Amino acid sequence: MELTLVAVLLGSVLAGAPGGVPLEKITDSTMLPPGVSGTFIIDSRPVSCLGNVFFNALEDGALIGLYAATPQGLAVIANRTIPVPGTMLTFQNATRTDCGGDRLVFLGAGDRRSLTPQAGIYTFQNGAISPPLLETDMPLSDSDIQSFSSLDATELGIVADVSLFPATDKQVVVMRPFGGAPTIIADRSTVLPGQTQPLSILSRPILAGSDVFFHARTDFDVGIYRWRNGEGITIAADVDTPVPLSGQGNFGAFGIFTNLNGRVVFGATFAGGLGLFAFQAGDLEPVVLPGDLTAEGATLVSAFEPRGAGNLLTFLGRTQDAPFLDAVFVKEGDGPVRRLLGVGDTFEGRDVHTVASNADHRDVLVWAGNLDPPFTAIYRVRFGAAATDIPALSWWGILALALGLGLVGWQALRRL
Amino acid sequence: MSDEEIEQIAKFSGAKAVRRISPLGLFVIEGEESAAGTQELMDDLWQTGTVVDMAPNYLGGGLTAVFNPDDPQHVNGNQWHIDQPSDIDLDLPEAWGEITRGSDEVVIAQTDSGLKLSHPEFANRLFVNPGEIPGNGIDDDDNGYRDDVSGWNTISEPPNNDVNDTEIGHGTWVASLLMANTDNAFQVAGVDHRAKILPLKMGDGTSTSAEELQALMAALDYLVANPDFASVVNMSVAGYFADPMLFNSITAAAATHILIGGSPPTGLNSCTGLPNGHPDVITIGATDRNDALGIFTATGACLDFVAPGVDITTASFVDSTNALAFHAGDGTSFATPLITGIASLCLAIHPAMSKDEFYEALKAAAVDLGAPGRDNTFAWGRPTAYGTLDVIRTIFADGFETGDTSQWN
Repeated sequence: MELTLVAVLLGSVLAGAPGGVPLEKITDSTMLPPGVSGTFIIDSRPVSCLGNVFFNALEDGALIGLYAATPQGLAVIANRTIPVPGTMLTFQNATRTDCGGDRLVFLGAGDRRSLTPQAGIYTFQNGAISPPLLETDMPLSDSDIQSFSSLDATELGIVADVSLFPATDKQVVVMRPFGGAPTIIADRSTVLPGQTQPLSILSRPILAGSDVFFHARTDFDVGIYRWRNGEGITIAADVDTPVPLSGQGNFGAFGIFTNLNGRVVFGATFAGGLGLFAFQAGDLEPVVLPGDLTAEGATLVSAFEPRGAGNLLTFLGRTQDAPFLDAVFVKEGDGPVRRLLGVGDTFEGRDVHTVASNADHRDVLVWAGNLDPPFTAIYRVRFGAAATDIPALSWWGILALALGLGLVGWQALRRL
Repeated sequence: MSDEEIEQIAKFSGAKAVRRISPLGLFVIEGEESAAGTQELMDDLWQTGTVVDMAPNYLGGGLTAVFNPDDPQHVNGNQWHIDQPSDIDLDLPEAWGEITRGSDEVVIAQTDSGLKLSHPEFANRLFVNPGEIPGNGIDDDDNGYRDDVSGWNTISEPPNNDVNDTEIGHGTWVASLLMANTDNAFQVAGVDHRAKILPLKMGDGTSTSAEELQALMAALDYLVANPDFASVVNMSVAGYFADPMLFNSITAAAATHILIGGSPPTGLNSCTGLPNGHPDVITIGATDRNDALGIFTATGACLDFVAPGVDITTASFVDSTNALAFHAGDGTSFATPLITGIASLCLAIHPAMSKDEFYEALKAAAVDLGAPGRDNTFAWGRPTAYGTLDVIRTIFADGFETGDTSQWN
């Protein structure tokens, strides 16, 4: 399958966000991919992969599709117009998109009806969608796959949270290396050495190198668990683990986590509030904490929902001057925490009602939305590039400027 | 008849003060602070021929029985929303003691992250679809959903029947406020002690905004397809994009259910996004133990009522006796189930209760906060469970007819 390119080229706008960091517009919900009309709400987790930005969007009919923003324009990757490989169906849904190194990975459904469901984990590579790595009705252990929840991909493979049938309460974490056979990491009957309770609930698995980290609970425990080939499952941190700060007691609840080149960063509650911590080489360390100062001089009161890769960590946080308003922050290596965009800001003439972010090794993608009427947009902030490295897309911004279309763009370019 | 004429008649019968509380013609008439005086006033009013129905309201008179359960977080005072010395609470012990602790005939649907099914606070409280045989892979009741025995998970792909809470516990916390097993000497007391719960899982901790919007829509569609499964819906979610299809799903679900949702976070208007911005949803803001507005509550024209939502103690995900035996948090997510729980208590004594009747009863029972009457900060104020139930049992449960109240939101 070839990318279908929209005729209208994307104009990149470099604009100064309220925090002063230039945000490069990738796309917004007024720009429609070919064949799409009506409702188009861009979802909150864009992904940098294969040199492009990929994103999901809610279309008419409440179906979610998968699209790419390329230098040539918007392209449809998987939606109701795209055939599901090996079936007579088209994609009714495409969600949970992630980057698996040289391929894109997503959860696609050809039929969402509860009586004849069909869904699978698909890869997109070299302009084509491959047959699924895992799919409904695929035999696994002594059952069949029934449905999927969270999905994480790296260059090594994927890990997913899967429900099996029969035994409808049987939920497992499955790892499948690219080109390899699926392995069940844990299920709800797993009992760890020294414990009496099974892992009754599993969620949010991620790959970190060849390790799998996942969230699990027993009736008496909540924690992050690590699976390592040959070693089995051990507790990485749970409610009996002391926070690596003096006098702050144990961890409380655990949020999502992300892998920064083997350094697993996670959000957790503790006596001091909600902060980010990391495992690295068996050590536990604080990363961003309530009370930390941002580069702008604000005091963080919470930090959560970390995303990132390599040296680049982005997360949502709140500051003392706006303790209930989410904002996107970024921390590069050991550098300061910088605020990029937040709820309550006005940007490009619209109030920002909701924000989210994602990052790869050199870019942070900022997603922002205005809820009513729905307007969503994706921006990029470049890191790790020379200051004079104006991204290719930006030449369209310069062109717009030359045509007198982009005063905002001018302000941003001066900062470059 | 004008308000002035009503007031004249009431005062002629000895009333000290008259206050209209709804366009239906519902009035609070203050009489002598004694049972005999109240009865005399009622007799006189009845003889005027202008009254359709009336009932005494003993609130504050110390005449009600109370039920104080033994759940430790209530006993130690952490669950201040149930009862506290200042009486800035829901008057739940009075409601439980005198009127009802709920009915297992009432089913509350919850659109959330599911709930921890093995939690003792929910034992024997899950709704069971009588037409479905568990685990046989067949849609026995032909409702379009396979093996939907006790809820439906619309966030998995494809949807399935696993409604276990894989989030950080949001659905579990909210459900415990609604309907935790109570008087079991364990963790917390819920508002309704007998109702069943129908979990509709629409978030899993890794889901995105569009995925949850889609899942919320599918959850509401499940209720529309199965209108007899539940009567009232708790939606401790807010601020999804104002998508026309989500709006239509809410409208359809509201035709057969009472929908109660939270106000979004501050920084937004209470009308911004869905479900909070939908006129058929009763939208709830949060107050603290001193009746101050929770500073995270969005205010505005779509806010309908406020309820306790600051420093609210819920059941924890973890059942041990360690420090996580309960969770304390802030949010309209926690204020919302308190009002939903009041609705389910009302449905126990008036199973045919309409949304309009419930809304009227909440208004009648609301402690007016902020500017007199409705305002955009506290809306109609903070209802009490006892007061709401009292209005339902005395006015609506015996056939008082309502008119078109659609404009009141």
